[in-house]
Amino acid sequence: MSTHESTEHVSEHDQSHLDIHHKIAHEKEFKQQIVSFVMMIFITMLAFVAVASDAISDGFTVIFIMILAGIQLVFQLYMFMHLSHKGHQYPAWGMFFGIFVAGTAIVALMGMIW
Amino acid sequence: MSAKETMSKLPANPERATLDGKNKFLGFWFFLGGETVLFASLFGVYLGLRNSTNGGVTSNELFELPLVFIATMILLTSSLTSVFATMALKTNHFKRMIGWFVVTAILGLGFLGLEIYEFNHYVHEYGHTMQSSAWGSAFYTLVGTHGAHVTAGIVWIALLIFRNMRRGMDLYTAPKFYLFALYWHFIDVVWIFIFTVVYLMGKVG
Repeated sequence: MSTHESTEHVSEHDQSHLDIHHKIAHEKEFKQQIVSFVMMIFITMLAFVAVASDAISDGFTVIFIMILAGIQLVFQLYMFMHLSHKGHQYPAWGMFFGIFVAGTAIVALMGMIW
Repeated sequence: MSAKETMSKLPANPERATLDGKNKFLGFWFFLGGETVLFASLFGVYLGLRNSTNGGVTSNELFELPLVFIATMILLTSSLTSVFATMALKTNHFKRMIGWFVVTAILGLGFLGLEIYEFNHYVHEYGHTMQSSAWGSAFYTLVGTHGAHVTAGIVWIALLIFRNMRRGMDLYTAPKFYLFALYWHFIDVVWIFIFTVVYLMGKVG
């Protein structure tokens, strides 16, 4: 399989120009990833504290921690797995379809088991 | 100069630069969509059976939050280290990428160790087994399937590193490592729902 051929037609000027954009985007992404990670740690702690403390009613706690899990799902898919980036249209549809079927399966199984 | 040298040899998205890479990328995302459905069926069964304890120990008596919290932090951190590995991949720093994947695998092993300790503890101290109740069956199937995925991931990355160590970064190896990082994030997503639905909701009642 050819590996380096596909990049050889790019002239040196174009390449260094690309590199600068590449580098700036890379540094910006790095910051976003760190912020996402700190947010996810915070959300996780919040969920554990909500369950450990007696101050919040059980019914509300369940809804609260499910919402927190949903937020973490979005962080993972969009920040860590880059689902929002260019060229992820088909993967996004694949995942959305999977999540849709998953939701249906969970509701159906919960309803069917007594 | 060295940064320019290393960055100029690969396109911006080396994991999708070849047809081979594109196909792997798309196919793997569809696989993850399918995995979502697999875990959803196990979650659905678990939610249906979580109170069927057959007169044995209940989830509230069984689970210990500190252990689950530590396991969660380990897995979440390993998700971050595989992000660092992906970023090293995109900037063509092969050794740095391998280093972060090694850290990821070690954290994965730590998580697995905690899970083995936990299961062993439940079986021997509480008599909570696969056969003891419908809830037991659902619990070990769901959490065990996730643990099997973690194990498979560790074996996968170990083989990838071992096989491609000398080859270095190119358009052939980039998709392979990129997909492992995707898989590892997915494992973390599943764990987020396990600690929420199984452990935290088990404590709430």
